[in-house]
Amino acid sequence: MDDNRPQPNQQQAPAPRQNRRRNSQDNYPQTLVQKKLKSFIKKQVYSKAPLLIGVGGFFFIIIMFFFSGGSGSGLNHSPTPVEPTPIAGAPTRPPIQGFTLTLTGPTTVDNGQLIQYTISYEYDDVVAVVPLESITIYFDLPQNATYESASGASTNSSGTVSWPLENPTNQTSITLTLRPTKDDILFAVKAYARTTAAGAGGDIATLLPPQSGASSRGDAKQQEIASTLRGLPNLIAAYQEAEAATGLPWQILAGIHYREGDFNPNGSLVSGRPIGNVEPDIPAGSCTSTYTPGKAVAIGGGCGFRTFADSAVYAAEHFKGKIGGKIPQTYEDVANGLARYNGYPGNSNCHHGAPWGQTAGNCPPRFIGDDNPYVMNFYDAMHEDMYVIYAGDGYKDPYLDSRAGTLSAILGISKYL
Amino acid sequence: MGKKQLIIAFIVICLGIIFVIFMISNIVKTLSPVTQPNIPTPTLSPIRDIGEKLPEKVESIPVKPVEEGGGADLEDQAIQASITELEKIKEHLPYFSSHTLSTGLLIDISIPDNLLENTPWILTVYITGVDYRTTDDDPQYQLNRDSFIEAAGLVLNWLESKGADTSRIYISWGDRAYEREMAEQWLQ
Repeated sequence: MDDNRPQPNQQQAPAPRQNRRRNSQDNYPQTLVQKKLKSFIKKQVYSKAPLLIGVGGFFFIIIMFFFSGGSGSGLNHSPTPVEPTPIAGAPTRPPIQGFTLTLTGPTTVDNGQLIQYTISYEYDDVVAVVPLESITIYFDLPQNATYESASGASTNSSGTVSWPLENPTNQTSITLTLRPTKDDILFAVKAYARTTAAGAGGDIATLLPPQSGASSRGDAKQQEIASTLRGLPNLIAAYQEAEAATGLPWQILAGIHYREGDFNPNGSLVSGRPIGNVEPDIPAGSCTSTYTPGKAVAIGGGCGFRTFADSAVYAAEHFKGKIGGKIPQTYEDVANGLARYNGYPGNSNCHHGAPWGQTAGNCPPRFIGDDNPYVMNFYDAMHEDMYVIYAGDGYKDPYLDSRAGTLSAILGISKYL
Repeated sequence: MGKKQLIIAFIVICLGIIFVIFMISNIVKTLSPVTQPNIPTPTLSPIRDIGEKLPEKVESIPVKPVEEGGGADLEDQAIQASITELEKIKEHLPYFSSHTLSTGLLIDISIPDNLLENTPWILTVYITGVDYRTTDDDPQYQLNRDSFIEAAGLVLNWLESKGADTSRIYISWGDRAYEREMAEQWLQ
């Protein structure tokens, strides 16, 4: 059993590393100088080892500190300012009052043949509230097809072809030709339009803060909001009418109305109270008995609204008033306006020590409204389960807010409508 | 390794750790001022006795009887006087400023122009940062009250500096009923 000799048909294990090195050294006779030098180095190294370890450790700690960014972020949730990155959002696809779009194309083509689609539109300037020049038509390229050509003045960017109708050459039927890259394939395509250059400059997605983590619960709520609103085209038309009158993007009004009036077509944007009733927030002396569209009017000893659209215009003007009378240009402006619409600091979870605000990393807020459920609840993973501090304008113990915030609603409209 | 050398190594490593802790604490201190989203400006105007020329309450705006349609009586002299005074500041709107008050509270004052176009007899002033829903048993009540009064004084000073007689102006302190009610209560 002690026989260590190699056996036949067995692979010999390699010699231990140290033995091999020694053998290797033996093959190269060392000079006296080399030997002395090695001996000197060995002696120095062994005698100064503790000091070298200490100094090395010191520099290692310093280097690690600087490589870690030196922010102390691992020890403290310090409010390191981060340059916000705008999120890239899909173009919104709301119905546009007075504007209808038709897409036609062949039902089948032979493999390898080009496919030509025709997009035409109808614009009724009697009922439309958005100028034709503020509308852009879009077509998302499907998978397994490449862009071949398009009529008019179009742009093909990131898989989406667009035709701004402000260009007169696009104010006619448009054709788009695609080349299939796969045989026996079925394409599901659609053209859509959205308004541009209205309000803050078109795409509402550019006025939304970046999301901090995905939230499946938030996403479900956002889809539900978009689904509800999709069934209320008259409401969307009223929001768009208010946008045309005030310049405030209609999606902000939709977000406010979701929160204030649950998309009730008869509930005002100011308080959610039925249209035609006295609005307690509008003092009797701030309206007149003469009806003017977009303004409150005297109703039964107070002030109220005759139409839903009037309440939308009024809300838009007051939203703007809360941020200095301007149209929001950044997501901070939007969040700020929404927080003030609700009464800042009011429901700020950091301000009142609500449980959400005590979660590490949530406070201090990155911008005004960041810690307010009226603005941010279910916007992303960071903003789940925020707390309402005040209900009905009176103080109550904080309770979990089950509804999406206004910005969350706007995000849902932007993504899923 | 000698005992002495081990002690030296230990001391050097400890010094390194102390150095790092010192650096981190300094950086955290440096970052703390960015917790406020606005850059405050110090209060430069002296706090005035705002009781001298309190503005008119919006609740006291003369209104027509309901039988006559209700709403503001635009022919009333008080409303006309407010319109006249507000004409003087129209060109200076919108107005926006941030202040750190003597109470330590950071507030901002916003006076938009667009609302004045709709109701030219009422000036809507937003003083933001004050909690109008605080109750008198709240430890922060006095802080909010004092802050509002100081901020209102700044607004009245500014209006006066533009030549307006503040005692003849209807000012709406915010656009929510609870904001106005609390503001008026504090101004008493």
